[in-house]
Amino acid sequence: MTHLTTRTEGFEVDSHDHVSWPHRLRTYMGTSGGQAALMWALVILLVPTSRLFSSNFPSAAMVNSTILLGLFLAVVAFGQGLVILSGGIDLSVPAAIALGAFFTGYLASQGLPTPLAIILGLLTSSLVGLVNGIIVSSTNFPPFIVTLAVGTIGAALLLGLSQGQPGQNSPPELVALFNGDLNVLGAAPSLIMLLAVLILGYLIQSRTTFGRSVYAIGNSIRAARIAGIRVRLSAFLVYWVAGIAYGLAGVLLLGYGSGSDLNIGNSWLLPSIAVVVVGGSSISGGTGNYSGTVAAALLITLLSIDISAAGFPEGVKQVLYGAIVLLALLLSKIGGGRR
Amino acid sequence: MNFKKKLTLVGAMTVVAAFALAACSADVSPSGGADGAKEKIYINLSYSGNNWQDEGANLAMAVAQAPEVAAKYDVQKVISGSDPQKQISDLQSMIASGAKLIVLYPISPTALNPVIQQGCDAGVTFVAYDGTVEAPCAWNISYITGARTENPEKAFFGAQTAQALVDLLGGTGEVMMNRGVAGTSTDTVHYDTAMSVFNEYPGIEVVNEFYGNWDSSVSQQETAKALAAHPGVDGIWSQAGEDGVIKALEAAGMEIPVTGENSNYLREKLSAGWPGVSSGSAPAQGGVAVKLGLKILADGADSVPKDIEMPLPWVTTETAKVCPDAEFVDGCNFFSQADDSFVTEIFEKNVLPESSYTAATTGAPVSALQALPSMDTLVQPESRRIYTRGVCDAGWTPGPVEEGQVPAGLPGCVKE
Repeated sequence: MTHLTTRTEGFEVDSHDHVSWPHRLRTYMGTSGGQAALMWALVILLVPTSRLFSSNFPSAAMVNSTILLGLFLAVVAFGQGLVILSGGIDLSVPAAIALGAFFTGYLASQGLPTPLAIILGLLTSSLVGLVNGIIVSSTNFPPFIVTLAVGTIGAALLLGLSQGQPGQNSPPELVALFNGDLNVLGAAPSLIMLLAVLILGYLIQSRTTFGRSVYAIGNSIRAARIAGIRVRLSAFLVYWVAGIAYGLAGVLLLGYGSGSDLNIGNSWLLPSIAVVVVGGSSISGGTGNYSGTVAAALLITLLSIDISAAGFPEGVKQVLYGAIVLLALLLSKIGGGRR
Repeated sequence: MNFKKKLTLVGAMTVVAAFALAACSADVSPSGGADGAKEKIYINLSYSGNNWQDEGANLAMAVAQAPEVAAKYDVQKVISGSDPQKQISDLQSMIASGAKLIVLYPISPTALNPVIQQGCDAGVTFVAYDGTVEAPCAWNISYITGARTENPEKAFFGAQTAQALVDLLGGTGEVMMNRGVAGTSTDTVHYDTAMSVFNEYPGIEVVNEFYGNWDSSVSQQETAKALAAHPGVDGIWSQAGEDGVIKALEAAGMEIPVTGENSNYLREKLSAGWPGVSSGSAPAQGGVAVKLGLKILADGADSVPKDIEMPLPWVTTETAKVCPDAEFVDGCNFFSQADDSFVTEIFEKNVLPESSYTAATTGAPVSALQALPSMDTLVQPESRRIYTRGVCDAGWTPGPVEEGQVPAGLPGCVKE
């Protein structure tokens, strides 16, 4: 959609007494900041409510699992969120995750120092984003198809390159991040990482020129161009940065699983889209708030843990999962957010 | 404008070129020229990209490229992916190019029936491994209904590992079940046969079941979630992906009995004292399938029964033993140099003794083939036919099997 709209950030009227608080609340909820706040409120609310799903909840184990699994989802959703914000969508997620995990594991096992292996692994996964970015920014092809095709090619190349040894072991430093041995100021590394991802991601998306330009092109390419934004460069960078984010998720998953195989990225594509949208971003681009995305990642992870714990049959679990995503979309529409 | 048009043209040409390249490299085109003296063998995979499939394919290639085989046959590997239509179309191409033997991992037991029948009518021999096909003219080799080697009455991976778990728990306790891919016949058979064992023990309670999708990472995540809800669980029954189950248990600081399939990590832990059993699907089936196919080609269709069972591997805490190098010596059953999700059952002392770690990871040809043992030791009893063919043999009818099989009372085929 390339029409110009006015966006409401915060309260649109000044503090005249006669504006009722329900109206002000409704207005606030219509903003992506409001949506994010709602998400955080729901996450916090769900913690004690988990008792309904299992008599062993809430517990430290439950919270730790939520933070850990939510971390992976939050990292993937950062990349996907940027792409969706720019008006596109990224289907190359599984391939990029697998590339990041595979090459980091492979290079480390060949003797490279772990930090170097990670950087090279990230660069390799970002190649998928690089190609996506070049094609999307210089042609009219829809991102849906471009990322699908590039992702397929990337996965196929990896399959060919990895013949016979698709499984890779993880460098021990990465494993140590997740196996409970490390302790930073008494908090688990995954919590520190989640906070770091939240702060960095929010800053990159909302406070850098790059991030602002992504909002702009997601709203209206014409207006962005008129405003002097280098649209092609921003569009290219979006996919490339997203590719790095997916690779980072792959590296983290490699450490968590102390190993990986080529299918490691497969289960993260659709949840990443769900989380971005539930977190308050518009699927057509232009609005969004990474804080809301992270909250949605935690919310959906916690819900999935609760549903698993309740012991429902698999079919019921899937129905519930889908219903919750729909419900979240509905709530945000009622809240007045732009869809 | 001009630039954009040029770019679109270049883009279109690149796409066409890519298709042409892909079509050429699939290379199942009618034998272009070539000597015609060598007949063709195809190894056809559907899924790929995980250790199991890679090792199965490598072993198949290693056997098919052994010098004595390579002298008579050309071998090619074709990966079809998880789309049945693609596998059907690839099979048609192979048939059209004059294949003599097609060893395949079928994507579905039924979708390939018409194309397999087509191939049989054209004189092609089909051998399906691990997954089975219902087409009557194809041979099946699978572990799904397989039995313990020391007591062939004890059948079904699901049931046998469930019984082992019950024994390790002393008959009472809470258990969780890590299943495979929902809706597949393999997962259903394993689960149903395991539940029939668990249901016989009132002291055993299944507190949670989840789908690890036969994937280590998903299994690890699902197990972590389930452990949060059931911190008091006493044992876990798992299908493939059990290396992820163990990692989740280690992260939670719990060492409880685990039964699973054949990952290197499970066996490493077993050898260090972790209670449990390793059994299940062996990638060795790929190599054995090729040997069976070669025997059919050499000795005729009657020399090999249509339904072959792969014996169930069985490694326990007491019998897990690391191999000193890359060869199976002294009854060893896992490797120190393999990664955690490497599937260790690449060797079977009776049907695939010529295998090695190198053959499974690189597909390097084995130096010489050993003869297969008597088919009587490998043939599937008629009572279990319904699991792999979907129907019972003539003269047999579906019903509970009470005799000759442990556990008794499972659905199967009974003589009319």
